[in-house]
Amino acid sequence: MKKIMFYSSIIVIVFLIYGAVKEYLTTDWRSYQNQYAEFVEKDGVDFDVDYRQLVLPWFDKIDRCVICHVGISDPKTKNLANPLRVHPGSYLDSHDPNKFGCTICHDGQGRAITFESALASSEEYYWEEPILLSPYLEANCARCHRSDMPKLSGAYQRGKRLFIENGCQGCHTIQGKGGALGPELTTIGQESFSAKRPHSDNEHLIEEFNGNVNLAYIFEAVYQPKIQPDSSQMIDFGLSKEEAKDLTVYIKSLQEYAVPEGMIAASGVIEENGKDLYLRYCSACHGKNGKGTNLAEIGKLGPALGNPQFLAIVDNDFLSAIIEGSGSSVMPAWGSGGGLAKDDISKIADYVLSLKNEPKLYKEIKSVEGIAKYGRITFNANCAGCHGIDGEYETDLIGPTLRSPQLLSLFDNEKYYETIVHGRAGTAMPAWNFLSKQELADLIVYIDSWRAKKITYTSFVNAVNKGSSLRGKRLFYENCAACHGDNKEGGIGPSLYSKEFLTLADNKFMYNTIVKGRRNTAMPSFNHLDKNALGDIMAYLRDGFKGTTIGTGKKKIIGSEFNGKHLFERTCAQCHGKKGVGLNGPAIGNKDFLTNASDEYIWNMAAYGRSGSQMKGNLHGQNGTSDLSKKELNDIVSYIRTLEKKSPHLNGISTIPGDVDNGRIYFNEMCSQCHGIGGGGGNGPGIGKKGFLQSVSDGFIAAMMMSGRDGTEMKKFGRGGIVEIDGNTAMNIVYFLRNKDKSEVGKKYVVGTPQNGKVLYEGQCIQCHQKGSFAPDLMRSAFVKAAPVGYLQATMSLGRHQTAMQSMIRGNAGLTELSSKEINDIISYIKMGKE
Amino acid sequence: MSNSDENNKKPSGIEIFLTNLKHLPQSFKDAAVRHGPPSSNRAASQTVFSNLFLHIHSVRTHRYNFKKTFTVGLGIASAAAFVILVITGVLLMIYYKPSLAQAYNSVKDIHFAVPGGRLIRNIHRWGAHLMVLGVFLHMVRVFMTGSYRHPRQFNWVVGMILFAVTLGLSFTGYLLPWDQLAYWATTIGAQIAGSPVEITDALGITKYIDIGGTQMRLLLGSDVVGEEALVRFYFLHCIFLPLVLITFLGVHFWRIRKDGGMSRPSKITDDMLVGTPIDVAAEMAFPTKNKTYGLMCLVKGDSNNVKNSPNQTVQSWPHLFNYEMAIFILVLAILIVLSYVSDAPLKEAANPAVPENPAKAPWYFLGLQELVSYSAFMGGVAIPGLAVLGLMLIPFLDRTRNQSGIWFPDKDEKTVFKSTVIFSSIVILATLIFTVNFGWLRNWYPQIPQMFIVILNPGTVITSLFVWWSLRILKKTGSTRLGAMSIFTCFLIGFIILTYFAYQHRGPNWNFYWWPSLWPTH
Repeated sequence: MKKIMFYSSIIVIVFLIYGAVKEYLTTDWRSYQNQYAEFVEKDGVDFDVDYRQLVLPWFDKIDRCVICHVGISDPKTKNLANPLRVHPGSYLDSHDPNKFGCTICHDGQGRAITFESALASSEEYYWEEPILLSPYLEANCARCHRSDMPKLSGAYQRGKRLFIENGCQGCHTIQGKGGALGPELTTIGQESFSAKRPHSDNEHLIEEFNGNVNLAYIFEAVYQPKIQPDSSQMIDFGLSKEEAKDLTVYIKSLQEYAVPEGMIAASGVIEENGKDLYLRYCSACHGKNGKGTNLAEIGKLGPALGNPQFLAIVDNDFLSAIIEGSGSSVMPAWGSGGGLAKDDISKIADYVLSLKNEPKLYKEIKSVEGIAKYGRITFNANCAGCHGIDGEYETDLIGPTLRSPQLLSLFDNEKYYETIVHGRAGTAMPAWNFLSKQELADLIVYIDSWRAKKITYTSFVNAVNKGSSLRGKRLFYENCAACHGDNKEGGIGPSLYSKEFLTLADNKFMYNTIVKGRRNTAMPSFNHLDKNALGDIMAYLRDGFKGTTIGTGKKKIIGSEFNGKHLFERTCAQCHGKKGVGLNGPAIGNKDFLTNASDEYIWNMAAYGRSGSQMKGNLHGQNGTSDLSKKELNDIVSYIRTLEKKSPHLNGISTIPGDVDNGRIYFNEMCSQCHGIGGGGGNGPGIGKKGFLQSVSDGFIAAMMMSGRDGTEMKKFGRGGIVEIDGNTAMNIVYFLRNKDKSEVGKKYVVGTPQNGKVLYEGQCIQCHQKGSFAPDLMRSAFVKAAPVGYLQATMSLGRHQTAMQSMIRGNAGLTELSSKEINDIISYIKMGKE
Repeated sequence: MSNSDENNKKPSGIEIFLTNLKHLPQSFKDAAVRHGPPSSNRAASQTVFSNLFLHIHSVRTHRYNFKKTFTVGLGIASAAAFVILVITGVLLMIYYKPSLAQAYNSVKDIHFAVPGGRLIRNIHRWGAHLMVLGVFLHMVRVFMTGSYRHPRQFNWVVGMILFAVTLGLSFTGYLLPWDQLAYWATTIGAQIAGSPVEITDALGITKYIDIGGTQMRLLLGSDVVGEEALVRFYFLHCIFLPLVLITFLGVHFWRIRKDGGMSRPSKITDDMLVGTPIDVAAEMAFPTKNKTYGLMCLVKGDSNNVKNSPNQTVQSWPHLFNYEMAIFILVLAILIVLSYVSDAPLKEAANPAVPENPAKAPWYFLGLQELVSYSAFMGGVAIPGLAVLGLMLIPFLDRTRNQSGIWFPDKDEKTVFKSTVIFSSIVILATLIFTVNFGWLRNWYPQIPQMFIVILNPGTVITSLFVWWSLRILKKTGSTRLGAMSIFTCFLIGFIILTYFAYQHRGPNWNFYWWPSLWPTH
């Protein structure tokens, strides 16, 4: 017993003494501090060897690094060996160690007082934040520098670009934003190393990253993602080792580190443009630049959003709705689940739309020689599905009949071209700018070939000479009275029963106006009428006119344009509108008018007025609206002449004054049956849509209303039409269309037979669009709600190039040959009960 | 008078003060110690019963108690460990902060920055393990030597309470560092406490009577291990359980005296006492060996001297105290050496979001955890509950008055022990091998009601076989001692094998692995 007691006591005493010596006399920090004390003694500074630590209660930290690193803020130590050397760089100038400590930037175990424990570069030390070395150190800047990350070595910035451009957030969520396919990354940079560590085959990575399991894990995840277990869907992006390291720096910075408000350098959110947002959230599936993904690992390829045919028929509203919540099993709902704000979604949609090709200019097309016969092939291959074969009328077509004399007389080739290449946003009419120049030129020439052969001036004059006023009266009533009044007294068109007019308007002037029409106004070209009929109308026009038509000379009138502009705006613009765009008075700024009318014609009209109309003579002594001298009239005419060269573009501009409420009543009574509530579109075109209204003038709309469109269901609403409306009402309707509130526009509807559509859907669509099949599930209510009818019509009719979606409409050599009506049936089935 | 007054001139106050000052060390020592080192047996006796700390011992101690192979000093070692734990624990309390925000960091500080903190913490940790082990082995010794028998039945029950409190102390202390190991081991422990939920769920009455949930919330103060649990465990670990332990330890020691000292055989021959200290004077003083004494009413049963002459006793001072002091210092030495060999673990800070996989309970609960993996209720409550109850009741069910104080006094006990070791090893190993290779009911019939599994699982199968075996022994031998022996041995072997198995061969998701190095890292 005594032996046991003796030896045990010896052991206890020896070990206690050993412990005491070890702890108090032979610690590293004492020897370092002694070295430092000797070093500064030369300068006569006293340095106490003592326990040192930085107490940082605001971080809940105690950093004892300074127990060895005693010289970090003493520049004299720059030649000493570590741990006594001064801190490199000028970081400490802006980061006072007493305020920030060490581990907020460097990590490591601040409470430890021995080298190994402080580095914690091994799991044995059980410290989750082993010391970080350059460049990974940069990640910790983001703890305080939220939106003003300093550019140190750039590894962080490069990594961030990689993160954005590879679309990582398409699958991974950060702070509530991002996809849900992959694990959330909000705090990946602080992930416990017992939860996430490299594969056992990759243990060497931990050594490579100085025992930092978290870094090794992140690096492995981006560099060799395939080494993860099979359940992982992580894609191998084929990054180089350097890129993977940069990306590791960025991902390491994804932390929710508790930093008190006052310590955060800049907390603002970094505004990102649409392109970066697209790259961040969409590019993983939809590919960079919308080219579709090239990542074979993604089993279900996201559609290539840059597909021109797709871009041709979508608008921001539809794209935003799909992004916000597609309801698809593959595509996340970015609004609710993905955490994106409406603004961001709209920015992404705008970016996608910006991938559209710039439409080719008409000038470029004119330089290409089109061939009508090839144009016809192009037309029947691309357009006939909706617009009828050869553009002829058929019942229930999706698109309007184009081969209508009234339309042809109101639309010149350029106008056709513009509609083709710009499409009508929000309707089924795509922007066809993906057609080649040759195809477009052919198409224009083909459409032009529909026009009647142009009546020559000579034959016109001959016909005028033989014209019968009696026949002419009937023809006038049918064709002109809608605008110009039953008795030529004028309506939306000017009064023609005016001696001043008839005196001045010679055959040439009349020919140019009647046969060529006046583009951008309600005055169509009447080329399609028989030349003799024109002669008869002319005879009727001049019937009862006692004087003789003298016409005007070609003399150029010279005056002060500047003065004229001033006078015009004070006197003429009241009726003719600023720059002559036309209000109650005709659009005298119209290019076609100015080409036709000579200076003298205009001068005379301005000076002596036009009897039977509101236009009074303005020359001094005429008792007109104004009292102008001849010189002043000269000035006005010379100003008007300048408008010819810069004739205002009237498309989409409202010039006709009117009454919205009155227009609304008439529109809803007469037009909405086919054109939908507020012109949202039904079986007739969506004429309330921006896309349409922007591409036509007020005159076009009014003229269409008054004359109808022969060969289509668009009836004539002018004189002799099914309903006879007067000019004022027509103007009010146009004014309503232009000035209604966006919310008044109803959704386009189609009238179809859902039962029939169901049969067709199950026969034609369901093979691919079945739930879980490769094509999108069309029956998702979120999709059906978001997808406009026009989008569905266009997609089904045209198919989508470079995808499995084939054209379904007859004549297009697609999957099947459906009629327009059948397509509408399918749409009515898809939409049934979902809106 | 005046002469004598002059001769014995009254010393001045200053002089008295100086004299007293001079004698201060001596008088202080006299007051404190009162006796010098005792020079006679009488003085030694005087020393013992006049000292608070010594008087719990009897003045003379039987030589049999010093037989090293009898007690192996396990009880003293456990008590020594407890004393060391109290001292180191109080020191740790100075720096430890029982709050979620500070607990882990304060332990880090104790490790790194507090002078001697690391050593104190290591000693505390090793002491805890040693105490659990010591108490457990002490219990095995007491059972195997039959020392629970009359009149020590109640002290056996007190011992069982001490065993439970010791486990409680160790378990509550486990949480305090607030690292991953602590957090998840405690979570497992809390789940075991909550395991009756399995049976109330199966019966569909959890809504009305949630025994498991109530137990768990009582333990944690919440549904999960959190700040409430930490404060609660801190209180239990530092105040409540130590007080309970000290109280029952006092009772335990007191009962040893009152039950006639340590157990020993009724007939002790000299050759049984070889190697123990001897008091020659006492041998000579009482030549007659047949004289008996009884301390009527004061001490239950046969007292120290009854039936035996006191010649087999020695003075407690110095023999017993040397013995005790030697074991105390030995324990201290072992703990200090272990503390330099291996640091107490402090893993990463507790993270409720990242479960340890596998989350293992402290080693002494691992056997239970293995059973819990079969059925939470059976493994966590029913089987251990029955075992503890059975252990407590053993002295009342086995009332034979055979020899006590001897390991395996006759051949039968040895035979039964050996055959039971073999039987129980085979039963447990076979069940484990079967379960690992073929799974259990849930693997074969995934839709099976949980109640079936609660009733029929490897744990209950093993327990039933143990009970069957013991009843068979009981019937065959007609000896309750042998029956008790066999059931105790069964559970002992079961505890050892299951603990080893769960410690070594259970890996992530509680799957079987030969070695921890084979665990998958993902």
